[in-house]
Formats: sequence, structure tokens, C-alpha cells
Amino acid sequence: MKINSKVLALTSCFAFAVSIMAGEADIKINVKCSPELPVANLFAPYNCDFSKGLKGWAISKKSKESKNIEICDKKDSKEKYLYLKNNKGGIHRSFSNKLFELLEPKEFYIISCFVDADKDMNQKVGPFGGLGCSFTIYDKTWKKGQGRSAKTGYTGGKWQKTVSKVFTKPDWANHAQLHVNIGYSKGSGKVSEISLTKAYSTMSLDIKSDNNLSQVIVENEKGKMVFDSDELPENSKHYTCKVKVLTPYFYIIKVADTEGNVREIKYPETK
Amino acid sequence: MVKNMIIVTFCLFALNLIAAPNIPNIKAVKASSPPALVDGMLNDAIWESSFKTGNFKPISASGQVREKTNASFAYDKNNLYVAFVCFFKDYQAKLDEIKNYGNNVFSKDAVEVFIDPGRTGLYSHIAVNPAGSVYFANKKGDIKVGVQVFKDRYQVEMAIPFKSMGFPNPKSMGRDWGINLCRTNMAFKEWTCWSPTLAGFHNSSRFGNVTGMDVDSAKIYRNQQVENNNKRLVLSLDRTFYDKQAVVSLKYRLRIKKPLKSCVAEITVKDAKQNTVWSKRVERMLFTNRAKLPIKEWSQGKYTITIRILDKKESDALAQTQSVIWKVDTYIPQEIVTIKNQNLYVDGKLFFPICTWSWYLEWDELEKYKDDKAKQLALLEERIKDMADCGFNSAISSVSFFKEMLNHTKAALADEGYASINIRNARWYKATLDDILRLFKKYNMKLIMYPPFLHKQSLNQLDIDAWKDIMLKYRSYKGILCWMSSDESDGAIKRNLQAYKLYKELDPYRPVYLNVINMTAPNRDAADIMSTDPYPVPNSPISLVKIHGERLEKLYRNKPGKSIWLWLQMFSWKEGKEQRYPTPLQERCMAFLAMNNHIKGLAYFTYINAKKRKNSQAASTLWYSMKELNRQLMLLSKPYLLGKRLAGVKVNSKDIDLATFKYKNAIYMIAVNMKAEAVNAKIDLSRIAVKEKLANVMFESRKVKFISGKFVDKFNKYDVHIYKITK
Repeated sequence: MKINSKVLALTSCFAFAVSIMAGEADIKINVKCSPELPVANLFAPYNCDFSKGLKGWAISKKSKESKNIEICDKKDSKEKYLYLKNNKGGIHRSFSNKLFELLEPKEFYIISCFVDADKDMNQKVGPFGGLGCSFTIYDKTWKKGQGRSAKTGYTGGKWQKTVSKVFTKPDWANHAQLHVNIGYSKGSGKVSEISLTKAYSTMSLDIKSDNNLSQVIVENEKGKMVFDSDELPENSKHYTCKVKVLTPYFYIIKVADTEGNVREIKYPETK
Repeated sequence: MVKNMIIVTFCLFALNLIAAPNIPNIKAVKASSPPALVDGMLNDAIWESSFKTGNFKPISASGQVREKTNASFAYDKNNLYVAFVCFFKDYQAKLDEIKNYGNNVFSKDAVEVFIDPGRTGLYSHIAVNPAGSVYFANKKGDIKVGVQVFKDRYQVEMAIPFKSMGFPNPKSMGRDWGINLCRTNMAFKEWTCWSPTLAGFHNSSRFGNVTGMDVDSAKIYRNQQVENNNKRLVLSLDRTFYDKQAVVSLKYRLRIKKPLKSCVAEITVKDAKQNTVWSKRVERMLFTNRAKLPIKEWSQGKYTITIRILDKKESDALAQTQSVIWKVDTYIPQEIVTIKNQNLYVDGKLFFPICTWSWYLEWDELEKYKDDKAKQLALLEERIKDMADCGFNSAISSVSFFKEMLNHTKAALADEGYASINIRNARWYKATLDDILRLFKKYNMKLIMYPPFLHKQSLNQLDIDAWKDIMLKYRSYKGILCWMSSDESDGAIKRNLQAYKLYKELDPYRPVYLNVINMTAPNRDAADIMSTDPYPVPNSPISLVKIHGERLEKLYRNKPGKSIWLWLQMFSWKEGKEQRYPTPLQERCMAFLAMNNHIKGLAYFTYINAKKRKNSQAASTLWYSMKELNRQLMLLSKPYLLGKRLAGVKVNSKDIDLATFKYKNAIYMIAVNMKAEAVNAKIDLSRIAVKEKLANVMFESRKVKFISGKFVDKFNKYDVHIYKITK
């Protein structure tokens, strides 16, 4: 995968390396990411992990009246989550220009959160339906807006990472609102770890082997292949490449040599 | 359009409900215990407490049944258990019949089970005959079946694991399930079922309704997805249909937790008769592997590609996958429809589409004339003539016209909402698509073909198989403007892309058209022609049409090979107790507003037939105003579509939408008042250096005079003034 020079210029001082010895053959995989994964959550100063309860959040009138909204502790953890019960109102917070100092022009961003939604939750209407968060950028008049959603329907009784599509800050951007709500669906559910991050990181791979290498692939945590070297030329004992990856995910790097040996690592290991 | 269609066809639907019995609605019965042995004996405790259907009814819901059938079913968290008791009159004849069964499970006598979890329309279909042969569509695993034949009856017992059925995404599932139990008895030409489906057993909208199915659908779905995600072997092909191509390019991805060196791949291709036409063994494996199959010399037909990954030492299959392709005839089109500079051309001639929908026969008409083809054709011709007289030059087809394609196994694959009504109607349709195309030709109209079968949410093999027959039959016909891929399937982005690819493979000579409500951008690659459907009257401002036009323009800006259309409202929304149609003024305003904002084709939802006109003065007035509006639009179509858009003409009111075009030796300025109030607007064309001092106001028999390139004109509510300045 080719990447442009601007991305390359971001080569990180937070580089991280992994080296693993293969069983039968010696395959060393070095990985660096720029910016390093996991990247900084730009929402961190804005109580988007609900560590301060609902401080800074506006609760919709409907939610206030129904009282079906609360902050709960995650089981066996100090982390908190928002619980919305049969609630179409939800919560939101508006961002002033402060946030827009963080959103750089022409930079790509992405939002994500973890959702645990019950059986009644559905996403029949498309990406704005279901439970999760959405981030909408408005112009000065609040009339023109464009938004991205990280929402989902029923998650099968477990927390599920939900990721939006990538967006940029439009020229006309002036205000923004982050909503956490249930869109066009019945049901209840939990939301936690709302995140706004720079969307892309450049993953640099440096792979060496005693045997000749035959192929390198990179998959994201959902099994989607994001890079395929195809069959490498003969006598490839050393291989390097750069892969543009989305920041909310972790990745599996798989390497095979011509003897059919395989080595795979997870990156970042801690995520 | 669907939501509107639902309203428009409400009366029709109501009539159906009156004519047809309600579907059974029952609470699911939990199995006391699973059958100890699935052998067809039906002597386990489960069958005492299970739900009993009683005697099956004819598929049409009325008439006598000569050989009776009853069934029962119950479920637990993993399985659906079903039992059939099928009586017959002649034991010897049944034995002879069983001896002579061929490969076709349905050829003589068979029981059928339809299961639609969450009533999404993605259902599984299982059939078993007295010889114990099984047919299973949407299969993900095996089922257990036992059959016993007695002197007066045969019995079938089934245990159907939920995980063995292709499960829909729980996000799209409702709470209730659709289930139906049926019997095909060819000896007596009897089709009977628990819930009469009226038109083919596949009419899933009429499966019995089962409430309270306490099944962890998400878990089943998730496991199936995990299986897919972690599928050890993923096969992808460059196409589904091959005609001129020399090779099939395939790629298979291996995800086995074993060293690649211990694996070997076997690729085999079999034709429809299960003869192996090609095979290869691949010794050296990668994570992703490619192969090319020499399809050029293969005869037409269906081919199944199977890839097996074997353990080199043990010869065991570690993974296996299959995919179906078709070799089809190359075809020479009799007519080519292209898009240049976003305009449609039919055999090189500019075509400005003004189209409508819902012009076909209604339920009561069909019921009245069900055996009278001549009368049906006369009524249809009357309507086609009616549309043509009113200036419409194209219209969307109905599912009903594909009657000859709607045989038993395909019938209600197109089962969503209103489509099933059309299928029900199709039983009585004598007019075929050939007749319709002939009539369209007679009135110089083009048909926008909307074939059934491709589901709105996702496509499966059955869909594609049924759909391709239509494409192969009709793609060479003249008079077809384009293929309509779907209507308002906004969220089904993958499906829309897949459908687009399939259409283009089978007919690269016509555009593919997709209508969405709002989600244009995610679907931008899924169509050659995209439209949206703003319907503002009476609840939104007319300027909504402008917003939609601008959005579509932005979508395909600098894409000369794409086109944009807009659906305009020609039906009534409710306002208080009144049904409000757009007035002729509003309709004219919307149409010119759309054209001012880059739209290249207009569609009106929907045709107002004589009955509606009789019932509503507003409807009648609107319909009869369309002739003049369409005449005006057609006259302006060349300046709009071929003219050069001029910038620099200013208007001092934001309520006036203005577009200026230079075409041949004239300048056209189209000014539209989007407001329901009168406006005096000053128009300044001094910057475009027009020497002339006068402009004709088209269709108004008056002129306006410029002073220093400026003039003031009055706009009553929703007025459209069209100024023509001729050298």
C-alpha cells in the first residue's frame, strides 16, 4: 500500500518494536506506528468516559422526565458506563471553539465507543439508528451540519467496539455536538469509552528471516485484511512496507516463509 | 417511495385482507424434551404437548382437500422440531410413486417447512419426500430427518438446528417469527399448508406468525459470523457471469492455524450435471492464493467451483468452500442506452426521462377480469395511452409482469411489502412483459425495468439464480431504458454494490438506476443513475427539492458518465383530516426547481388513475395539469440538458431560485419562487453582456424590458417565470 509523503513525515518518536523468534525458522517482525497505537483520545478532557458522572453533559428533556438514564460502574472495574433505558432522548454536549483548536484542517478523524445493547435494539434505518454516539459538526447558524455515527443494534450480551466512518473538519465548521442516544429503535443499552482520535496511523513493518519470505499480510481485529504483499519475489530475506491503518483497531501481522512456516503477532499487544 | 407506496396501496391491501383469511398467530410452544430418536414414528412425549396445526388448508385458502395433512411443532433453545402426518388414499400407488422418485424432491409428494426468523424475509426452506430425500435452501449445517410410510399415511419427523439455517442479522429482526408447513401433492394437484400463502408457498408475508420464540438469535448469528470471519477459506471471484472472458480469476484466502507447508489445495469445477470440467492441485500455499480457470471453451450453464484444503500427510479436508458462476451467451444489443455529460442517450439520441409508476391494474380490476386477457390489455393500454397523452415518456415496470418467471420455486422470493401484493396479483395477470413492451412501443414510451427477486437487504444464491433468468430473457429487448436496482434500500450498501455489479455483468449496455431516501454518498458507486425522493407537500418547504438537487449534483460532480434524477410528489400526504395533493402551481414549481438544480430526469410518484381522479378533485386537477407542465419541460429540456449554464445573473430575493442557460442563439433564465407568498424580485443580467433589451416570458404571452440590464418582475406564490432572450 502506498502512502503519501505527508504521512511518512509523521514518523513517530513513540515507535514501538516487537521481535519474535519463530520455531522452525527465525522470522523477526519489527513494527512501528506513527502515531503510536493506541492514539490519544481527544475527548479525554471532556468526561467521555463518565468518570465524573454526567458532568458537562446536557440531558435531554425526555430523558430527565423518564429518569431512565444513569451512570453505572462496570463489573470488576473502576470504569463507568452510561445506561439508557427505553430512552430516545439521551445526552449531548456541545463543543466550542476549544475543540476546534484540536481538530486540525485536512486531518482525518474517527469516533468510536463500546456498546452493549439489548435484544430490542436494531439498526434498520442505517448508521444513525441503534445505540452509540454521533458527532455532528455545524456551521455558524447551526443549520448546516454533517455527522458521523458509531452506533449498533443488539450486541449479543457483550460489549462491542463500534467505529464510525472517517471525517474531516469542513471549512465552514463552527460548532459541534456529541450525542449519546438511541436512534430510531426501541431497547436499552450501555455505552462507554467514547473516543475521538486521529483516524489513521502509518504502520511500518520491517521483517527479516533466515529463510526466504513468501508473503506478509495484515488483518484488523475483525478479520478484515488491510494489507497483502502478494507472493514476494524469490530470495526475499528482508521485507519492509508501510501500511495505513485505522487507529481504533488492533492488528494481526502474519508472515510466511518459502518453507511454509508462519509467524503472527498482535499489535499493539496491550490493546 | 415505499413508505408512500404503502399509503397509496393501502386500499388495495385492505381489499386483499378482506378477500384473504388472516394468517394464524400463535404463541411458540417449548418442547418438553427433544425426541429420543428422529425416526418418523412420532411416539415421543414432545408430540403430545407440541402445537398442532389441524388439517392443512389449500394454498388459496378455499376449496376441498382430498388427501389430508396435519403437522405439529415445538422448539427448544437449539432446535425446531416438526412432525407431519400426510394421509393418502392408495397405498400401492404411493409405494410405486416412492420407487420412482428421481432427484427432484418436489416431483411427486413432499412436505415443506419455511422458517423466517424475525420475519426479515431471509428464510430457510426445507423439503422432504416420503423416500427421505431432503432439499434445504439457505443451509448452514445438517438436519435430522426420519420418515415412516404406513398403509394410510406417511410421517415425517425433523429436528432442525437453528445454527443449521442461514440466520439474518438480529439487528434487522423483529420479535415474531414466520413459520409455515406445507405439502405438495402432485397426484391430486393439491398444494396445502398451515397458513395459506395464496400465491406460491414462498410468499413469506403469509407465513404463520409465531410469537415468543425465546432463541438467542444474536448468538447464533454471531457464531455464524465468527465462522465466516474465521472461515478457514474465503473465495472471491472477479465476476459471477462470464461471456467473452477467457479466464475466471479467483483468489482464495487461507486462515488455517497450521503451517502453510502442511497444506495443499484442490480446485475442482463441476458443471450442472456434476461432471468435472476442470481440476488442479496446488502444492505451494500462501495466505492468499490466485488461480485462473480457462472458461472460454466451456459451454453455457452453471458451474460450481469447489476448493478444498487438505492436510498433506493425512489427506483430510481442513477447509472447503464453494461458489457458483455462470457461463452465459454474449449478446448483441438492439438498443444502447448511454450517459454522456450526465444525459441519457438512446442509440445516440438525447432522451429526457419524465417517468411515473403504479399504473398497472389493481386488485379489484384483476379479480374482475382475471380470465380476460383482452380486457386487461385494453385497460393497460388505456393507462399507457393516458400517461403518454400527459407527456410521460417512461414508466417503471411492475413485478406482476414477470408472471411467466414467477413459478413455484421462485414465486415469492420477491416477498417484501408491496411486492408480495404484486405477486398475488400476478396470479391473475394475463398480460405479460412482452405485451407491455409492445404497448409501450406503440405509445413511444420507455420501460424502466424493475425485476423482482433481488432482496433489498442482501442477496443470496436463490435470488441471483431467479433474477438472472429475467435478465437473460429481456436484456436484448428494445424499449428498456435502464434497470432499476432498488427503491429506498439506503442502508443496504453492500447489497446495492453487489446488485450493481451483477446488472453490469449481464447488461453493460444499459444504465443501472437506484433510488434512495437520503444515503446518496455511501451508495455512489452502486448506480449509474441515482435519485432521491423529496415529498414536501404539505409538511416541508418546497425548497427541499432544491436541497436534494444540490446534494445529487455534488455527488456526481465531474462524473459525466453518471446521471441524477429526482422523484417529485404526485400523491397526497395527510394534513389534519385532509389529504393534500400538491397543487398544479406547486408541482410546476418543484419540477423547474429540480431542473434548475442540475436534475437530468424527472419521475413523479405516482400515476393518478381514473378512479383516484374521480374520488378527488385535487387529484384530478393535478393530473390534468401535468400535460401542459410536461410539454413545457420537454420544450425546455434541450436548454437545460445541452445548454451552457451561465453564471453572473443575480436576483435580489433568496426566495427566488434562478438558473440561466445559453442554448443555440438564445438565453433562457428560469426563475422559481419557492415561497407560498408573492415576491417582487429584481433580476440583474448586466454582467452577461446581453445587447437585447427585451425578453419573452415563455408560456405567459408577455415580455419584460431591461433597463441597464435589470428588470423587476412580480412572482405570485410558487410562480415560475421563464425568460427567453433571442438574438
